[in-house]
Amino acid sequence: MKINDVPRKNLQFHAFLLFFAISSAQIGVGIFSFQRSIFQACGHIAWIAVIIAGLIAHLILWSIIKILQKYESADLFGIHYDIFGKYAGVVLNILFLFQYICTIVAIMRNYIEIIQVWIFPDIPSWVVIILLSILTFYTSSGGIRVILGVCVIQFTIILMTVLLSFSPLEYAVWNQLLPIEVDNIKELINGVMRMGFSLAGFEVVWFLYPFVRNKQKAMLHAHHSLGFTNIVYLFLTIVSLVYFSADQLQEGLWPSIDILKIVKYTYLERIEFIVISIWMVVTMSGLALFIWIIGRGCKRMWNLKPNMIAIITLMLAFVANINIDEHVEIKQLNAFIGMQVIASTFIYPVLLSFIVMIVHSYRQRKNNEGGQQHESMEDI
Amino acid sequence: MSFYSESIRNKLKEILHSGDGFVVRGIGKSFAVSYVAGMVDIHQLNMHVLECLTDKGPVESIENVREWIAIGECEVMPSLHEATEKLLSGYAVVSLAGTPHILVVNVMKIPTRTPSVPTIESTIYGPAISFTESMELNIALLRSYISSENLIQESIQLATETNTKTNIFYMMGTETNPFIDTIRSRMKTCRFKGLIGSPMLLQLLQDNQYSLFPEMSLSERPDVAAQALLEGKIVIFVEGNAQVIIGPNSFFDFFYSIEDRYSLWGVGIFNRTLRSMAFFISIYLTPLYVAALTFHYQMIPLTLIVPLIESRTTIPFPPLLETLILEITIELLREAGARLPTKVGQTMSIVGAIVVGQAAVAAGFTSNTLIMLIALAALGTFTTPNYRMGATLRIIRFPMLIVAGTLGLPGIAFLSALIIVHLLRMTSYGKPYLFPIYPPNKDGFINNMLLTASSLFRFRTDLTKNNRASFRTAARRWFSSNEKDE
Repeated sequence: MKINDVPRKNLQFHAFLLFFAISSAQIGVGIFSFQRSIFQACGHIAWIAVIIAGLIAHLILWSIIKILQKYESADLFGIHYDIFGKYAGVVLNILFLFQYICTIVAIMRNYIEIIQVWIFPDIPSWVVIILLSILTFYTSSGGIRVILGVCVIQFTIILMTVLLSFSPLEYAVWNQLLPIEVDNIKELINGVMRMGFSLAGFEVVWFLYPFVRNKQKAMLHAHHSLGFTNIVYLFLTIVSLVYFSADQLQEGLWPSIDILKIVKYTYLERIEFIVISIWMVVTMSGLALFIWIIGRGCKRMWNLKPNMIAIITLMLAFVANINIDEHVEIKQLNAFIGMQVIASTFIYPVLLSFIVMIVHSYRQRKNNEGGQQHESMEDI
Repeated sequence: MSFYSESIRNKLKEILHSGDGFVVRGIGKSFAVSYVAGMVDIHQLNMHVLECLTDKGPVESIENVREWIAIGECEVMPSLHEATEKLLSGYAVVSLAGTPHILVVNVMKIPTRTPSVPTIESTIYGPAISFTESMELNIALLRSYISSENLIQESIQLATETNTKTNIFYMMGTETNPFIDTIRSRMKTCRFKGLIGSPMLLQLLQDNQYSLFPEMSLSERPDVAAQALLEGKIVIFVEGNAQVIIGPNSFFDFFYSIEDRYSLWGVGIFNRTLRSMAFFISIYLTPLYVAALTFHYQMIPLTLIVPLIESRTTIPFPPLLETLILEITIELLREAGARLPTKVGQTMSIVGAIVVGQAAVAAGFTSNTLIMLIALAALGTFTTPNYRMGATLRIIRFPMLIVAGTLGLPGIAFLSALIIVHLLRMTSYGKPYLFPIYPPNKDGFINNMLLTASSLFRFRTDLTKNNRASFRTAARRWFSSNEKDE
């Protein structure tokens, strides 16, 4: 495997498209339910937790892109290979791929649950899985350009949904946001951790970076994208905090969907039916992006065909999903992946950037010494 | 009849598998003139060929004969065998005893009609003339719009049994046309048993031959062809076809009418918005009705659901079946209208209106609400300026109805997503099919989709541009080249 990987020129895209890709990897089915878990953790100051988590995410994203900029055109697979060598690098890569498979299972399962609870109580899970799998496979086999196209469309869908969520503000009780004081720092940290799970996804820049045509602008657009996601999450958190009472927020599983129920016209009610249905596109674009990353990793490491890998992954996801039935199990799955994601997205990049810094400075010194020795040899 | 002309006749019979239909006329002892009856202009033949050849003494070579004949297109062919193709396309063949060389003279007169008013793409403003079945006439029409030396004509002989002639037109600009090589090689490699209509050629030239969505369009209007050329596209003329092939197009090109540019820009934008609304109405209106009444009646507020249910109380069918019956009726009416002669067609439409409008409701087959929705959806498909795209939209509605009836709104979302991904995957000669939307392009968006004000309009967009040089640099280059000329 080569460390640097320069894709064909017609596969490269403008850094501007990172704006759509990153927010689309971050925002998925989690947007419907994230407020509740944060509220359970830290109460009415949940919005502070969202802001802190967002700022931390910006910092992590900065460090990720800093590492990537040290290389010419490498992705995480290549960097692992470079830093940890052949065997340890492959093991780390496989860990990452495994995490993405788990994420795919979780995304699918959460979306199926929403469809089953809100639209069709009787629909068997396999129908939804097959629909999602067809879409995902068709998208991911089209390559990165098609996936980014779906991301662009997804962006408009998210924007419209957020605009719809303005309507509950007319019943807002603003002093539910107050008082701004942190009673228990532990609770706040817990909230920030839970928010981290929702924010995860910006680490796709690890894998998209080699495809960016003008790499010097990647940093700017990636941060814009993360900023957009943070604003969306913050907005939805504030809306649910000022609209719902504390008890309601504790009990409702999907506050964002409950918010949409407020939207009413004389010719149309229950907008959430439409939003949940359209959310299939949003879900699918995240899935396609992760499937593409898995296929890419397998292609880089073992030169396997990405389409074959996509089919295998989707089959695995199918089997895993069929076996998860209860809400409790879904909750356990989410918690498990939440921990994984916190480790791989938030802690690992910081760790890696230290390691990369040490290794690179060590190599540089060695190079310099080697160069000096070389020069002195020439002198003699 | 001279001995020489008899020998030419026998030779021709041999080449043409002893077929009939050609005339051989011997003049003196050494000349023979042959042509296919009905394909030549008899007046020209008499005046400029036969009269020149009578009462001439012995001549040495065929080149001398060529000097006498006062017709522009005269060509010397090495043998009779090679001249046969010309003979069959309406040339007069002059042969001279004692030499194998043959002179072919263009006195062709293929029956054609005079250019008339466009009937398929009619507009209110703009030129009212359309192409005919004669390629020469069509080329003359096009050249009357663009009389520039940058308009390049390139004739290509297709590998067919019909020997159909085709001509490619494109504009030579500051940059080379990126599609011309691909189109040329595709036209040369595609093999037909026989090419009769340009739509057959069009399908083989597309990137995605199995897609439902068209990539190249047909037009009968010379002004549409001229505009396409100025946009950097390619126009293909096929002999014997009144419609020229224009391509490559992006998805949105199929929703623009040339009239948007003729009307005031505000009106143009309004019409385009109307058409894009019609697009959504035609695809989604009836499926949404089916989905809402089958699964999601909670979505419809009480004030609206009461009249809806009331109008459906006597109907024995589920909403999906009810809608399918009516949709198929509409399609039957359309197909019958297209196949029938015009005079019968009028009676047909009256029958259709009565059957669909009155009797279906009275018989308790469908509800009044649905008739209104179906009529709107049908109108929506017919506002699409391009008939090929309109046909595609009509077909898409049927699977959409079926998923709406079986899976409700998630089904509609699924099929829409599938179509969007399909469109995203499609390319039109290597360029993305959904161009100004994805990849998002500000210039293309303003230029192509929003503004029609002529001061802001420029022809070439990134879809047809070869390099990614911005408009400013292109303009600078244009200005500087003008200065050099002075």
